[in-house]
Amino acid sequence: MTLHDLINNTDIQGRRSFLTRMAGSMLGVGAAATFGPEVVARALAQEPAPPLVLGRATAKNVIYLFLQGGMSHLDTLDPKPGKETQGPVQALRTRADGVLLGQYFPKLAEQMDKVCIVSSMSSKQGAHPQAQYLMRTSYELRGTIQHPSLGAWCQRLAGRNNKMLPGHVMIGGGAEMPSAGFFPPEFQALPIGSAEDGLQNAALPRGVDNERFERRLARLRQLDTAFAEKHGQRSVQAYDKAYAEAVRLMRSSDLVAFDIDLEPKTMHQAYGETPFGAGCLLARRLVEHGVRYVEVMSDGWDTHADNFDRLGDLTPSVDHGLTALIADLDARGLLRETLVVLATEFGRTPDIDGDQGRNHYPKAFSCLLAGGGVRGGQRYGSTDAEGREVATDPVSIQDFNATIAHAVGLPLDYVVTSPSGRPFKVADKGSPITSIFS
Amino acid sequence: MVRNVLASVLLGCFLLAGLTAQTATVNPQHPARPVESVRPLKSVKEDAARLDTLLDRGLQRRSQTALPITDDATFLRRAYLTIIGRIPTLAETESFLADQNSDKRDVLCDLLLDSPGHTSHASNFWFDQLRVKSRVQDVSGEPFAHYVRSSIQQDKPYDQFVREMLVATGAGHQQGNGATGMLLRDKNMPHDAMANALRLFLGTRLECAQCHNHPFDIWTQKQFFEMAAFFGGLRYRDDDLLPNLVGLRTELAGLDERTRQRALQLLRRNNQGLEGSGSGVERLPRDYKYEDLKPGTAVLANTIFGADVKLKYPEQKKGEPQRPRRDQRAQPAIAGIDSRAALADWMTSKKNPQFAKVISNRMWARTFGAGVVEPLDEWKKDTEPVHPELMVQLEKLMLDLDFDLRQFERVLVHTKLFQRETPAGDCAADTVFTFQGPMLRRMTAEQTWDSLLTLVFADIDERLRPPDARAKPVYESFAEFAKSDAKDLIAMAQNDQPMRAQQQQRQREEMRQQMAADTELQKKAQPLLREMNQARRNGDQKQVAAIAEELQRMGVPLGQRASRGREGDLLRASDLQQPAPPNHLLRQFGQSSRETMDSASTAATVPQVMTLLNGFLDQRVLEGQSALRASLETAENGERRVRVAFLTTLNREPTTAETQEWRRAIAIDGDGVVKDLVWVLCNSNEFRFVR
Amino acid sequence: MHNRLRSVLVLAGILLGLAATSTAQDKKPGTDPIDFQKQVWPIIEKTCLKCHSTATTGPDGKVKKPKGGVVLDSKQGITASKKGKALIVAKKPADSLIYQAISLPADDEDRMPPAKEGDPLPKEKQELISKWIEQGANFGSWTGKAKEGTDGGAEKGGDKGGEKGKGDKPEEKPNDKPKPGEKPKVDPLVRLRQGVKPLAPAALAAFNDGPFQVQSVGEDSPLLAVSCAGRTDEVTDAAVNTLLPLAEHITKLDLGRTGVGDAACAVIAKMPRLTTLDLRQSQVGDHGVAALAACHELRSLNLFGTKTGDYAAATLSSLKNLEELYVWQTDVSAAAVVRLREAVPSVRVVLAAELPEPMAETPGNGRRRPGK
Repeated sequence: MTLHDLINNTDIQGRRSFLTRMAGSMLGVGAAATFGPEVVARALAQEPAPPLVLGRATAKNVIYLFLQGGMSHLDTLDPKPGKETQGPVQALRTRADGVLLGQYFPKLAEQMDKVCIVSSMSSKQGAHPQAQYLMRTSYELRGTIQHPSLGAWCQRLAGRNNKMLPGHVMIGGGAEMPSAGFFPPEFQALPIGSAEDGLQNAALPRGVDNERFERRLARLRQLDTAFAEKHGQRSVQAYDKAYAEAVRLMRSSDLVAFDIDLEPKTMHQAYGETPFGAGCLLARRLVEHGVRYVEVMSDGWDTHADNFDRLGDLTPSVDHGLTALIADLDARGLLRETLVVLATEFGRTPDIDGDQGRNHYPKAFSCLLAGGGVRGGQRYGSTDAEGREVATDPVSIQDFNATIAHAVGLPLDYVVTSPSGRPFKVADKGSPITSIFS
Repeated sequence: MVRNVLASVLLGCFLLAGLTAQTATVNPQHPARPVESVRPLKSVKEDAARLDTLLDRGLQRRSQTALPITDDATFLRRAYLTIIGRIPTLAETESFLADQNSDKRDVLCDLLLDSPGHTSHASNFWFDQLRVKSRVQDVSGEPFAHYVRSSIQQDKPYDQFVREMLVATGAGHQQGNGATGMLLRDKNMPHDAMANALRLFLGTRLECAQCHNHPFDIWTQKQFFEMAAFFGGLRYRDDDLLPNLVGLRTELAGLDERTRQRALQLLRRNNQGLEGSGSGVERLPRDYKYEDLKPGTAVLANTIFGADVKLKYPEQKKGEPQRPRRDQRAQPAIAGIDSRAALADWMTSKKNPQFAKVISNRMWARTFGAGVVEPLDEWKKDTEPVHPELMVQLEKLMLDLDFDLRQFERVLVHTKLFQRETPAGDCAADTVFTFQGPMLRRMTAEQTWDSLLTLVFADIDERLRPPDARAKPVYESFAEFAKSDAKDLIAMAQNDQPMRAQQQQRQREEMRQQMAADTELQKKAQPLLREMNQARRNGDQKQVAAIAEELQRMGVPLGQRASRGREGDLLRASDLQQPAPPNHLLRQFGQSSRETMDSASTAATVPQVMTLLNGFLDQRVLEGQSALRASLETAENGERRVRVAFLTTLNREPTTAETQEWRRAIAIDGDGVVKDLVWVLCNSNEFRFVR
Repeated sequence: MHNRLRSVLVLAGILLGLAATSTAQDKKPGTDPIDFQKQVWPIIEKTCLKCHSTATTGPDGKVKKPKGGVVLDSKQGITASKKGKALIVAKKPADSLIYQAISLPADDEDRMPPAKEGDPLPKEKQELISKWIEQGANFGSWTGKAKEGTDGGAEKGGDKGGEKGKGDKPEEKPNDKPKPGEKPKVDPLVRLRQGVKPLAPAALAAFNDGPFQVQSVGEDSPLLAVSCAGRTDEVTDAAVNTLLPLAEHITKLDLGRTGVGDAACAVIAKMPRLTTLDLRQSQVGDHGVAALAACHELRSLNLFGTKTGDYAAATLSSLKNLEELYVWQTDVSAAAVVRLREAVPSVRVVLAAELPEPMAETPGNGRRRPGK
């Protein structure tokens, strides 16, 4: 039972008393303190009153592909053929009239009719940790607070599609990516280190049957209850929740969603037998089984030197993975309700330096959206002739995130208060780009 | 009095025996000198008492009281985990609990500080801080890991440690040059390297000022570049042609793309290193937008606080463009004026306002769970320590000890604070932690892994490898490389070809064997898979096994794979690949990916829970050959078995109630219940949280 | 003893009375004029604008009207009247509707702000407003809240998000204008909800324990979206029968990966407002699909991975509103697709996945390396 279930399924009175018990731990009050009405009110204020009135969602699910390091945009999504800033890269015609891609994405060019490129992204953050954080949470990196990621907001405001599986899975990436932030820990993404290995240890070990497992769990609960009486910290309670979640997951028949080995070889080959390709394939399976928000991370895009050579190494896995994902989702009828996002924290400099490299460039860069109600075959916003400045329709990182939130139907003005009393919204001040939706 | 001394000596010997090998060889990670030989315990306890007094005063001012001293069992577990990063073994537990001496806690702390486990545990800490990786962009980082391990083992003073890393030059893979690893970690990004160094060593976050004046702190972009100027002219010599490789490029020009690529790859991998003592000059970026200077202007090195640094700049020839660039092939090298050494002098000086403060605060946080100043790496002008006098004393202590980190840690673990109970709950929102007792913390990923290994091996510390075990092959390969000429290198590149092609072929075959055939087969398998999952949900193992066989006969690989034994080597975390592979137990429990500082996590996640529920414990501890299993099997009766289980995992005696309950269960359900008992204990919060 | 006490009290009373009158004298209008923009406006902005702002169109196209027709973000609005009663009567707070409303007792159901929005204004703020009205309700140079770049309404709390002093962004990006020659698109869900009475919460609550997840399609619409929330094993034809009471309201139905078959389609055929139907990887066959011809509003039908064929494709040609049909991994042939397209020109049929060719091999191209 997650907090969300409890809130949704309990009557008002039951909810109040439950929250009274929980309020203390959520707000960091010691076990010995009494819970006055003010404390309860604060706790209730933090939870969305069910049912939350959501906007009309065009996307049930989100697959968020993140390229860490800052993918060079002029070589990929926003080419400037004929200009010096283009360097040695050729531009490709695509299936969408008037939209060109860099030579590194030939496969994607064939699916361009389903894709919308946002070419006018612009931000002020040029350092990796800060820019990645902003992209992920819509807020600035601070030493004092961890903001929740977009996936965590999705969980909190829109809940899960499939109650038996986690609502938010992150494939690849490390622990440094903020996930639940200051939200309660059950909004943490489920991390899958490697898509090829999937979810490990989900089956009972040899020699342990259900009955024995239940007995073990019962005794474990006893021991933990005794411990909890002496230690009421939030971090301790988080483990109780994690155990409940794990057991439920073990019992779910949808567990097969995590196993990409069940896919035929042709599928593996189409997506590309690379970590990123496998991640995309796993993402498709998860969304098929009702997981709402899946992220796939790819690292190594920080091409300060040998930009062109390294892009040649890096891009095939993304070209194949992304294209296969879009085509596969579409053919299964899932693309209409799944928003596929390809994002990076900033672009790279139009001027090529002596190392054949490009450096950080947040002033103008590109990201990509497909499915989930977004009209394909278009480019939103533009940069100038050489790709130095945004020329039309600037889109801030918060605007971009607001667009994703809008697609999922999340209320953009809904305020959640952190435990320290500060108000936050899903995309801060961002405004969604409504014109790209059909 | 004599009896006490004798008893302590005996206890010491016994514990020493438990902690070190019975044979004559010295453990390769054993600290260089015993702590007592550097400073007598008496002085340590005086320093510790001083800290306690200041802490008490600070608590009084907040109308709070310190928590009582905790019991032996709790202290024992805490001491082992905090000082050497693992739980004590059964033998260690029993001997400590049985010991009657009044000073056994003091003796224990010093013994632990003197043990090889300390080196291992401290290595993990520094690997995290320095973001040590075994592979940094396709190049080995093991020399750096070796450098860190051996610096710890040798008790290298911290200021010397930092200085070495700031000024190191030369080939990174050459034996003895491991210190270059710190700056090589941010290869080709000298600005990021500077920002990280300031953050780690001086607790000052300047990253924002790389692109604009810091929005929330006082630093300007110009100041950032003035600091960056200390690394001016820093060169990463990947493609430098060493004398032995003259003519390589001409040779390569005529070859096929693959060989060329491979040869360049070999060159880059082996050749990495640092050159340049620092020019003291850096250019402002092209988009510098502030009024005070033009973009592209050269700025001279200047410190952001503390003492000024005077550098001797060479005479500038008129008209000569001094453009410090990464690629030095096109231009003569920029004259180095030892600005890096000047930076190191300034940074590690006892007079630097931040250096000693930051490290003493980090050591405090490492021992007690939070810093006297939080956050640990963002000190500002208006930062207030939770106990100001205590902070002052900590800094003074660090300076008095000449930056000996192990002695500093020694003082901390001899305080009364280190013996107090942990608080019962979180502190209220918007308040700071005041250290009425140490903070309750979940074990770090490394402590978890190392403790689980302690259940498997009673002598886990004896399995610690020499600090250079992983770096040796790298040194050897570099030595080979340094002797080869261009033709040798090309030969190496070419010889690699068939091997790689073979490898890929083999891989493809394996994959073909592993994958299901095609859609047809999958369609047939679908209903069976459903049935199997239903059976699994019902806990009907027999049915599951039957269907699994059927599926295998059809040629369909099964859903949930049992753990592939991905733990690899059963060595302590500090001896493994850094960081562990993404699906390793260490990563599941939150080991940092080493991409950014402070990115380790102790949060609860489902994969780590499932590992404990269904994976490691059952496979390695309960079923395989493990020390715990052996102890259980040699126990004389049910009661002893219950006690062994508790003493080995939770390092305490079971309560009367617990003993009764489990004995009853064993009586009803048989000996298998003992395994369940161990399973329960290792899955409990009491196991994973350090009190 | 008593006498002494009484005299002390009397003295205290006199002193207090003097103090009271003297402060009352201090309150004489004109002594310290209240600045509307600096003192009164912040109160209104913080407490009242949530419900009493000029009408705006939200990013989702919905128009938000000011409650009760009372607009408080401009001078014009504040000095207007509601049903003949003036919001402000200069110099007379007691006659001013605004002051009457904010000074009602806390448990009065007409008091402003309303109980569900928060506590009544603190006494000092009520006094301030009263004083301001008494002084003549002067706005100074203030006429109304600016749309962008407002500095006066200081945003308290919340993170700045890095854009200091930039002011509020407009609520929406410019909407797409229909291309010339195209009919303006009317959202079917807007049309279909006309005249539909929302179901009682009890009717929906009955499904809480079942395998179905029943929700509004959003924006408080009475139309419903039904899916299986992960309990696909429990959803069979019989389970679909339980949806009959919702037949008039269901517009989206997701039965993907369940065990439903042709029998369920008979029930689905009774849903006149169904626009989206997902039957992927279910047991539905040709006969079931034939029954769906009754769902005239159907726009999207997903038959991926089902045992349907050309017969089913043919029956769909009567669905003139159909925009999308997914028939990959079914027995539907290309020829049948062509015929369907002739009958329903606007339909997009997806017969197969356009997957890319396998990756080419070059060294270091991101392919899985051993040990990685």
